[in-house]
Amino acid sequence: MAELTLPIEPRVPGHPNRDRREGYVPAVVYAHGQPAEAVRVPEKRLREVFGAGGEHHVIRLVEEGGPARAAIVKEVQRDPVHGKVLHVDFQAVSLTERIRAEVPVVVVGEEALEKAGWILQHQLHAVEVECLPGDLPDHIEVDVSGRHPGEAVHVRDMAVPPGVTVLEDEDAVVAAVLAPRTAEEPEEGGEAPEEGEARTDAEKPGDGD
Amino acid sequence: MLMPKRVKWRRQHRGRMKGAATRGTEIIYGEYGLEALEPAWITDRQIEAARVALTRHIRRGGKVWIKIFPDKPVTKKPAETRMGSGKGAPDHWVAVVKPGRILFELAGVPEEVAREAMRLAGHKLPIKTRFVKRDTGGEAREG
Repeated sequence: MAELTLPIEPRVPGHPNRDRREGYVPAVVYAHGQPAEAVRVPEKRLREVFGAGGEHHVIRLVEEGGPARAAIVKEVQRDPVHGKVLHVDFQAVSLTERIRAEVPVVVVGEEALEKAGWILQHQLHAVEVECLPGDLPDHIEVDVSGRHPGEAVHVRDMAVPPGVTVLEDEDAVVAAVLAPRTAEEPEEGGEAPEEGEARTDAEKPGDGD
Repeated sequence: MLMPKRVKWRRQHRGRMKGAATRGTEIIYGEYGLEALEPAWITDRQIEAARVALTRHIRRGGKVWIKIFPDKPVTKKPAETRMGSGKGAPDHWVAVVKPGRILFELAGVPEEVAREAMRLAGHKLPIKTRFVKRDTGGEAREG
């Protein structure tokens, strides 16, 4: 992946909405053993960087008149309705110091299962890894082709690039292959949760008020 | 129908539904979700109707998660009674939903099937909803 750069500029903390109105996203940059620094980044550039996979990749933060810093995205706050990015946490990293980061898990070979009419249940969508910033993979692939119903792919089966340590439990299930239910689901209530019984007056809200 | 097994108090205040949801706004279990775009009280019957619409459409295969639970009792006075004499009897249960809340999640089906199933389920609810996919953060959320 090409190197991703993002211009940052210092901001006065306490006025995040003013920055947002001006087309910036408030952010913070922190690093091991250094005080946190309030900055802002142009929203348009941030969208481009995230679009190019920057949320799980090392980004070069360039400040005018200052040195460029390598950083990873530690947290993104989004508006729950509009999805707009409200705030970003960057963690500045040293290229010689191992870091912990979340890497997405991508399943490949799903088509073969679909052809056979089986269902893939993808359970672990991201794993925490420890590695040098330069070794941080964009994603980790898991091959599920050749698997049969009842079989699962575990963390230990993942093809992890050299230099990268996965911090999850190695027995954790990443994806499982299931056979489709053979019989049509019984009418309503067949899959209803435990409380699925018809309501009676006796079951109405509990003890007195 | 979904309802709590046991509650501490039979009747609740109605409360307000200001602002957007702050929790339950991400797809956690499945691949696809149905997101609320308006605030509302969703009744136990509406949740059940939407669930049935979802499971009927996806037939076999796939897995459905119901992400909301009707834990708020709604009271109702009997018909043709005069005002006063205290609060009515508990009548049904609702889930308080604010914009941004993921109502249902779905996995194990192709996207077109999921989209149609969520559309059908959305029609059982009293609010506008939107189909969302996992990791479609930011402006990528679809209308």
